[in-house]
Amino acid sequence: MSNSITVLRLAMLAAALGGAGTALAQTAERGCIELKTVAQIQETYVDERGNEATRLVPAAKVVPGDEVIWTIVANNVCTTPAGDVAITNPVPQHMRYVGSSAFGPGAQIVFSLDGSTFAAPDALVVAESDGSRRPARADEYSAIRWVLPRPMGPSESMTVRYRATVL
Amino acid sequence: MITRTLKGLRTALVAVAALGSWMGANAQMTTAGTSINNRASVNYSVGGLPQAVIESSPTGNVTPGAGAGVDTSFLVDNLINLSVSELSGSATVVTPGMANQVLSFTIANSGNSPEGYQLTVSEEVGTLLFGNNDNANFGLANLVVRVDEDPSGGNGTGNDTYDGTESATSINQLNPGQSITVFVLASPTVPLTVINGNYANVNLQARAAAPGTNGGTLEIASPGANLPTTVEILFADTLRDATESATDQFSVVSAGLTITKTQTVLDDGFGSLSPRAIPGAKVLYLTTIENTSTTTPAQLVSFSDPIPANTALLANQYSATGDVGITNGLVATCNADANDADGDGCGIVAGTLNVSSAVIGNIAAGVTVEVQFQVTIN
Repeated sequence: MSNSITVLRLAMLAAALGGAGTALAQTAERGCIELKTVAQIQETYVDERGNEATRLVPAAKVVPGDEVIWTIVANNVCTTPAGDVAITNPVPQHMRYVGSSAFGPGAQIVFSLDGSTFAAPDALVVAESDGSRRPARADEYSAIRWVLPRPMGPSESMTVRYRATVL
Repeated sequence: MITRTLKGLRTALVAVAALGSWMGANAQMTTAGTSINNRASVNYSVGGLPQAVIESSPTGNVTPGAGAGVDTSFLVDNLINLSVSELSGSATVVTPGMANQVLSFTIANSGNSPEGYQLTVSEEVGTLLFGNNDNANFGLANLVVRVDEDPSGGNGTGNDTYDGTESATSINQLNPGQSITVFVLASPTVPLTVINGNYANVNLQARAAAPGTNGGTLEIASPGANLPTTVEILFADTLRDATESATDQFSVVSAGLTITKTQTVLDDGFGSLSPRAIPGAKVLYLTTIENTSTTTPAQLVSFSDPIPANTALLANQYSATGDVGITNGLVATCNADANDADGDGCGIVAGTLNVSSAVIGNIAAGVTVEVQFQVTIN
């Protein structure tokens, strides 16, 4: 009886170790896309010719009402193409998406109200408490997804961007 | 195609308008120091096989798996904004000598962090407010600031009305979205030096200070390099100086007393129809005191009149012991004894008849009081 329990325990330990080993291999694994998120704000400055110009600087001084430009860069770091690429970003807490600001060359941009179902703006409707339905407002979007229609080749990168206001 | 573009544009405009109204309707802003965190993710396939999700990091992450990414974050900075407004929209009408006369202001924290405020009072000599030019000084020593006990709408003892229990002279802490009433009090009373028709414009200035310092440590806008991990201080008020002010007005309205004295020879001892002022004749002196103000009572009015030379006061002309007759006063007659020995408010001191405020009292607006006495010519 006690022997069988010991055996069982050893088996469990082996399983646990095996599992841990698998997990370790998984996290140490290198995926094919490097993903980077950057927060910036638009700053107005006077260039060397004395003209007013704008540039993007890191979002360091940000107060309520300010617009932050979120830039997400995906890089294919493998030697094989990456297909079915979809970049998803929930609009951060304390922020509201700025309408029509999502940008991504060639990508189909879809939005979500609940964070899981994505659709084009025209297809997003909100049910009012009185039972009526209306088109969703941009500030109600809770997540944005960029769907790339074609594979990303090796070393190819894709930059997508949107703006959101700090509440 | 054109139709679609236009439609898209219209949608965008509607969305922006909706956002604006949403922001306006909800005054509560993200509190300073809040970390805003963002992490994107990418799903993809290789050779038709779906791969594990990859999350983003600020510098780029290639390690697959949920939780392997790192948030891109920044801290919401401290937006200092405030407003000062005067409450009544009109002058506060006061009378010299009145106590507990206040000008009321509201100070609102429209920033995103708790703040304290230093309060400063000044007089705006010569400025125009409510159609009246400032033409008088109360004197700063006679103006004190008192802060209501708690913010408007709070559940403490503050009630936005000055009740004499307020003691704070600065605002220790006001949370975002809160407002508090501040009083400028004419202390201890409206100065007796100001007169009817005077206007005093009083300015209350609030300057943001670190919360909890009783207005002692003024906030300073953060200079130099901006860091995403530091809560910087920005001034968002009109002049970007964390200072706002408003002006209110004391309008001095005092009672206007018109005094008229008549003399009538009542009897010259010869029964004349037109009695002459000859020795032995009886003369009536009647003084009328009219408060010509339409609004303001004259308080604690007293009266003094020298008994004319070469005459003698006639005693008991108005009652058994009443030497002086009073109409519309507190009493009808009084006894003009030496130095008011009987304490009834009337007395003669060094040849002058004194009728005290205990006899005449207050004279209401538009009311006339008469004081009369009689003499014989020596």
